[in-house]
Amino acid sequence: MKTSWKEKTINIFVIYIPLIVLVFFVVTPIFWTLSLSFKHSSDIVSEHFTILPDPFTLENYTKSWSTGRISQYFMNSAIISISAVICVTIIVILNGFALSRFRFRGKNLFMVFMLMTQMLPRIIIISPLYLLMRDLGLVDKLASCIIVEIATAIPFQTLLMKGFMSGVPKEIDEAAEIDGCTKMQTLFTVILPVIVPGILTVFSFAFINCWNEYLLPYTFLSSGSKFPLSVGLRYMITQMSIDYGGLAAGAITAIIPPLCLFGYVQRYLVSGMSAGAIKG
Amino acid sequence: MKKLTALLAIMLAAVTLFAAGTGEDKGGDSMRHVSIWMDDMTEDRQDMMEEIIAAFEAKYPDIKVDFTGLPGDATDKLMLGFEAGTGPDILNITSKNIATYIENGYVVDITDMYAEQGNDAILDSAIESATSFDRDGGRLYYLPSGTNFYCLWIRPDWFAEKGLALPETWPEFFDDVKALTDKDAGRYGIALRGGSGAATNLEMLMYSYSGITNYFDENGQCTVNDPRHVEFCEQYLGLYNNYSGEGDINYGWGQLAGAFQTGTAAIIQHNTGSAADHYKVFNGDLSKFAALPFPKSLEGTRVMQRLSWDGFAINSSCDDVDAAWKFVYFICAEEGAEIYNENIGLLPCVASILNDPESYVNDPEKPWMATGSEVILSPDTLFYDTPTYMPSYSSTLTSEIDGLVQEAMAGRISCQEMLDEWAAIMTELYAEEG
Amino acid sequence: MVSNRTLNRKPGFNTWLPYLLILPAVVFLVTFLLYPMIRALINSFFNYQRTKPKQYGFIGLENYKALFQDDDLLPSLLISLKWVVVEVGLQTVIGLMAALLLNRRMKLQGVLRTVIFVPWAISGVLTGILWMLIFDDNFGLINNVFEMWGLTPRSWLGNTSLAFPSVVIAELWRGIPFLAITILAALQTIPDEVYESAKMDGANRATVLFRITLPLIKESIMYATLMRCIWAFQSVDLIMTMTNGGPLGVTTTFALYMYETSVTTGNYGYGSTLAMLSFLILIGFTIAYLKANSYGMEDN
Repeated sequence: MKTSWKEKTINIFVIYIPLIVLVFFVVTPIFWTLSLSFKHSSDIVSEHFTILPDPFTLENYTKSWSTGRISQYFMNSAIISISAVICVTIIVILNGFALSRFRFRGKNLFMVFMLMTQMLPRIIIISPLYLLMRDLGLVDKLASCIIVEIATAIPFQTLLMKGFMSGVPKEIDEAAEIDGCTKMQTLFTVILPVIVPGILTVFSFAFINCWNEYLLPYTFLSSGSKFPLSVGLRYMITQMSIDYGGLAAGAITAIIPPLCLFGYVQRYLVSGMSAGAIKG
Repeated sequence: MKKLTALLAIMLAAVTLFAAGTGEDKGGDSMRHVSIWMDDMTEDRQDMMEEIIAAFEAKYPDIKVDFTGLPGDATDKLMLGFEAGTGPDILNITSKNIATYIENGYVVDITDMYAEQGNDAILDSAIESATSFDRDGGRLYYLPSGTNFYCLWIRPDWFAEKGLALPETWPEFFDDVKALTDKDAGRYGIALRGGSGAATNLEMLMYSYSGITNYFDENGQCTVNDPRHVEFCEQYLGLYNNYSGEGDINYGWGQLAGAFQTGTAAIIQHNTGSAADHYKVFNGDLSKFAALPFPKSLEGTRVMQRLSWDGFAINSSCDDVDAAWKFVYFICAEEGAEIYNENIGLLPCVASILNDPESYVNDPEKPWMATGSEVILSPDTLFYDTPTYMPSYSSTLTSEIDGLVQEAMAGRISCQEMLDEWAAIMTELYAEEG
Repeated sequence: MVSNRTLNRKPGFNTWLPYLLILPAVVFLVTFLLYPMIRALINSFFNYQRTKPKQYGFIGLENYKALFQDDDLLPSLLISLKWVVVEVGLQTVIGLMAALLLNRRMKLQGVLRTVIFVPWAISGVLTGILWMLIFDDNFGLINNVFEMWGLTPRSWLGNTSLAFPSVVIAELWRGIPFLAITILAALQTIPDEVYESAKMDGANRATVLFRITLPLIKESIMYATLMRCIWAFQSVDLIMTMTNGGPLGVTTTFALYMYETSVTTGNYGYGSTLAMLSFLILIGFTIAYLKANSYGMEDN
């Protein structure tokens, strides 16, 4: 289809200019972080301001890796996040299936209950939670963080999953049931393959929240060797000074895993169904 | 889909393996274990602690120290640990939290243990200061290790440029601030702290101006609204936006340091704890930054806040108090003291280190240490009795008084009104906790 | 719809199946969220101040009565209201815009989507510090660039009329990806044929957007904005890092006030009371919001 001159002009104003503004807004701070991460810490707050690093240095990256603690933090973050996210995904699939395919007494109550649990300020429930973890013998165990992160993630991810499952036409499972599938077989053999993008979205959303969680591991864990990366990065902030360069490098390092995950997942967001919503 | 399932399965298996592998083997040895948590740690400070612990374990081979370095202010985590009975055996102390720990009965009385050591390695004044936190009987609940010296950080090169002498008295100070301000060159005479920590810092300056040394008078009335303090605040906060930047009203320490280190402000108020940072930023050029004691008071005396000695305390639920005490004494008064205080940037409370010409305190590359040690050891220096012994004092300053200082800076209330309210709040608190 | 269920071979089991399916979730939520919340509720009836252990004890409704005498409460609630409305409003509009743009087939689509996603992958405190390095008076990016261009530097976080917008921008930056991706995911569910038939009818862009696209993704937007409101109302990390509630309290939200009361001052009794107030406000808001959006469970 040929686009007319007029339409091209409109495209510039409706699509390209907003896109450029948006990308500029999002990218500037990232660019700034990158630039800071290659500066000497003493050049960031100094009498001589430069936008680009001058002199350029890798010390912020090498410094944190040379002590060896950061690889430990990475590993702990990975263990906590991946275990929590796998459990969340499984629980949420079951929830989504129940909510999108069944009518049952108490369903509304369950939905409202889930929303309610999102309304509790973390800082207030953290101390009762800590006492509970002590009673369960889980203080200073990675499991304590994993468990609470699962609980925290369930409500929103369930809503998301319910949305994805509701989008799958019910005729599909009816057909499967006629073929003799049980409900659970229908879920695993018919519905799940269709909502892979949804599963991946839930997976990556939950992963990021776990990956960045600070308060839970900081409160529950008390051995330096068990801290995740989110806690490890805080060692650069003391009451007397902040190592901005090290933090910038740490931030860049810390976003690589979620970024790779999302870079992979986002392809599934392009399903065959879409050809551009505002193409008109 | 199959690929995905396989991927998930592999990840799950890997995680289970790792999770299983992280189980630790604590029991089974005949060692005496003591655990220690320290907050406000960095990677470097953790290395330093490991060095001290290695030296300690070499001296006491039967004791094993389990160290956890925590980032940031861990008071809240510690309180939770105390309440739940899962806290460490040893913890580091600041003047902000010790009164609360004593009030709650969370820390062990170490008076007798210190007396048994039978020597006086630690300055008497430091021990005296530490015992003042016990309002009932003057018992010792933590062993002091070192203190920050509160001072003005100034730009000697700018003073030289303008041909100014360093201020000895407060009137000179105000004249210098005005003379150093050159807005066209982007320079202010001072950067003020109006954000978090505003009240604590303003309070130190007020008392050093007035020369008053008692925070409460014999009737229990707070002296903070003394006419000389009003006079000081009118002058000092009056510098805001005229001889300082507009943003100062919300400056916490980070922004204040930024103003000094980027060459925007000639003077800031802080302590020797930030020296290492200035040293790095100015590439060790000592002509660009120097520590100056607060100017002398109207009465001609040098008055400072009661030294807030940091230190170490032992948790009441500690099983092996003797082992814990050995470590506390080691890091505060013995071999650990110099390594620890030098790394954190504190003046030690150990007289032999203070007086040793070879120690870091007298290192010519660290002139601020000698300045500080001279002032705190001088018999002419007076200390006003900051009521850090009241458990709610520090948090009240942060939560209630900081806001008042901001309002006075913005001119919404007068300095008289600010100080009257401040005094009223503290007088009330004194009646309850004094 | 329901009649089809009769095809199932085990009707008894299928009545229990949904309960079985949600059981793990219920166990987790009750143990690790509801139980601590009940403990917090109990604390709200106690004089529980960490610096005053000798006063600890049951005081009935005293903490709740104190709400009515608290002069700091109403201003912080109003700031929170402003914060949530401005923040969620901007995030929704810009997030929707971003989603529509990223839904187009174009070069670099994957890269652009990944880039837009980045801010979300950075944690709250780091985002705060990052934006402090942009807004700071002396070492911030903006003021230094202003100086290079000969513009007058401003105090972005210290001026009473600039501080709030500055913090809003930082939070906006962090919040766009969430809405953009949620809406993008929802847009994927709209079949192409819908657009094609609209085009055949000669509908223009605006008509397609408002009459077709938006109604179809309404449920997703509704949930996403609801969650965002709940989270925005409770967020503290970014504001705390950037302005700590100042200057002159213009950025002291209710959540920050609650944080200061409990963590900074150590008054967990009154802090828990504030948490209960926060909970009630959010419940009321959620019910009103769902009603206004004619939410029911009719989609079964």
